[in-house]
Amino acid sequence: MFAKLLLVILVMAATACALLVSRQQRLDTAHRTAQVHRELLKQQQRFWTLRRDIAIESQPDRIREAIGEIGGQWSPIVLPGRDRL
Amino acid sequence: MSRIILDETRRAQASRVSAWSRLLVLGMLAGLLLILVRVAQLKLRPDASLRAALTPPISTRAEPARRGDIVDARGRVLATSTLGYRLFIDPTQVQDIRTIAVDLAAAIGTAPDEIDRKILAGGAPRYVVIDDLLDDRQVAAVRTAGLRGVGLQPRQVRHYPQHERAARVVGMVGFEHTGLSGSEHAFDRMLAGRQGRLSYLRDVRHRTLWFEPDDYEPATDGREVRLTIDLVVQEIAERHLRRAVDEYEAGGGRVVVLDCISGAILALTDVLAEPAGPARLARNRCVTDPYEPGSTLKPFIWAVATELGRAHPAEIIPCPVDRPYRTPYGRSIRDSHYLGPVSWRNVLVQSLNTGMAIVAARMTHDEMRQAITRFGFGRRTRCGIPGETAGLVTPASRWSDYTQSSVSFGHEIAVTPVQMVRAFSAFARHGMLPTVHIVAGPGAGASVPRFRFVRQVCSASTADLVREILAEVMIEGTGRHAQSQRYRLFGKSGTAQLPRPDGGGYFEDRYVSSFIAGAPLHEPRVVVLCVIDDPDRSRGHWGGRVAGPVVRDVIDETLAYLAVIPDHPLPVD
Repeated sequence: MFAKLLLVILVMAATACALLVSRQQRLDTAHRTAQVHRELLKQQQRFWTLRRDIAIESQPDRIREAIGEIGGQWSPIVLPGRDRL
Repeated sequence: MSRIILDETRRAQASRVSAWSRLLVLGMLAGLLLILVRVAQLKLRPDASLRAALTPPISTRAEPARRGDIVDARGRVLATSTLGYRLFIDPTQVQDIRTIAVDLAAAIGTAPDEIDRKILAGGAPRYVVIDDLLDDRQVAAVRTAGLRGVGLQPRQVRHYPQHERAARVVGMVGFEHTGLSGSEHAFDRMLAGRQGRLSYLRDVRHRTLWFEPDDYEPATDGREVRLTIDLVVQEIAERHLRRAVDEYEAGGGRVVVLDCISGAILALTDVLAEPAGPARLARNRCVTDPYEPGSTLKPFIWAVATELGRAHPAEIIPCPVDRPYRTPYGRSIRDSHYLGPVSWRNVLVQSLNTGMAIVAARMTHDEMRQAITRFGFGRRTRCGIPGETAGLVTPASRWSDYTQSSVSFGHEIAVTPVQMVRAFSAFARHGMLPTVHIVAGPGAGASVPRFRFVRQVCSASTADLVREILAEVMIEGTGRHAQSQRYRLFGKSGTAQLPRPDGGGYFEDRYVSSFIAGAPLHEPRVVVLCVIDDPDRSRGHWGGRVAGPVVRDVIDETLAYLAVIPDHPLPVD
């Protein structure tokens, strides 16, 4: 009888432990998700800033200046069929 | 005997084990019971200090939707948003209000007095804005300083990486990041997006510990708007227009470049010598302010009169030899030069007001008015630019003989530059009027709508004939100063007197000089219009002289950029 009772208690304790571990893992995962979310937003912000910086650096004026610095005779590339409607 | 002793020993042991087991189980049960009671007590009647800690530290914040970008036809960014930070202080949370200004000033590199002044003048007791937008270095410094009561509030910042280029087309956003002018205003709903929401468990430093899936509603970012404007063409147009406005000390100028195949507006430039305010907030005069087209209207009247059979291209029109023409109702009509009787074809080549008025008198008022409206004058083009006007066409009820003559050479009518390039494109497209548009598509990868013609406004043969005659204008007529060395152009100049703002007639010595042309002659790709407002007469005022070279240079550079093979290749060194 006591052995059975002991077994029940141990099983209950084991179940409780498993539940606790599971809960902790779920919280860890949620925390990790939050971290990833935060990191994602940070990277997204970085991407937006880079997009702005690239736009500034590739202004037509700046490209013309760069061409001027490189020198030489520049002419447009005529692609086949581009001169047709 | 020994067996009996052994049995008794085993029984005693078993009895001891059993007793200890019972004790152990009872102990465990008692322990569990105690834990249960404690849990019940903590849950049902926690003490005051615990009660505060038991309240879950959950915060809810709005997830801002990023405003969509505005890009040009080739995806170059015209307007974009990044995340910036506003610096604020909650004075009630600050540890030492006397030293906070010094600590903060050291972090953001400003004067402590300035910060003190803001704290003392603060309207909201718990929210004093110190700096509306910090740069990346300042944000890092504030975070490193870790000052209590000091907060960083994220906010969207709109950037215009091309600075003043295409400023009137792009427009700008206001304080709340909503569109105020230009495309920012016109496509605000598309660009704005939808805000999200996040409820999260925070730690003691207000950082996100975790959140449940149900507590997160992601923001929907705004959509990208792709304009038909090509930044390189826009730059070409702005450069040449600015040069002409400076050279002729004009009040301002406008240039429109239209892809006559698709109806896409490639460039829309508006320059004022003395701008009244920021260009981004100014109206786009290419669609809002009509001007008197002068002789640039003649090809349209010429085409309709020819098509109606009121004159034949080879017919000799009795233009005066050396004096103004007097109309049957007694009005005197002048020309800049008198050639005597010339063919109807040459009336257009030489841009003779008298010849136009003579043939206009053969048309009924309705025919003349319909000639104007069928090319889209007097109606908005609905190209997508806000604030567009319909221009000014005299109502049928007030149309007189005087109007009939005036309109034949482009007076007593006002058109917007966009209306004019659209109408002129009909000659480039065998009489088909294209639908002009400023938006190429809702986002990257969207195809540019092509061949969206609305109607045939004159027969293909008439349109082609007009184009051929307009090519002669570039050689023998008023367009000869604007002839290109690379492409064969077809175009027409216009010089109209500037109307007085009070409506009392025209200035004698102030003009609107314009020039419109398309190229290449046989397979037109672009139509370009330049309008120069009020050039200094001592430097020049004829449309062919003042605006013509701008059109020529813009066409030359634009077609080269579009890799169109020149009609006249440059000589090889």
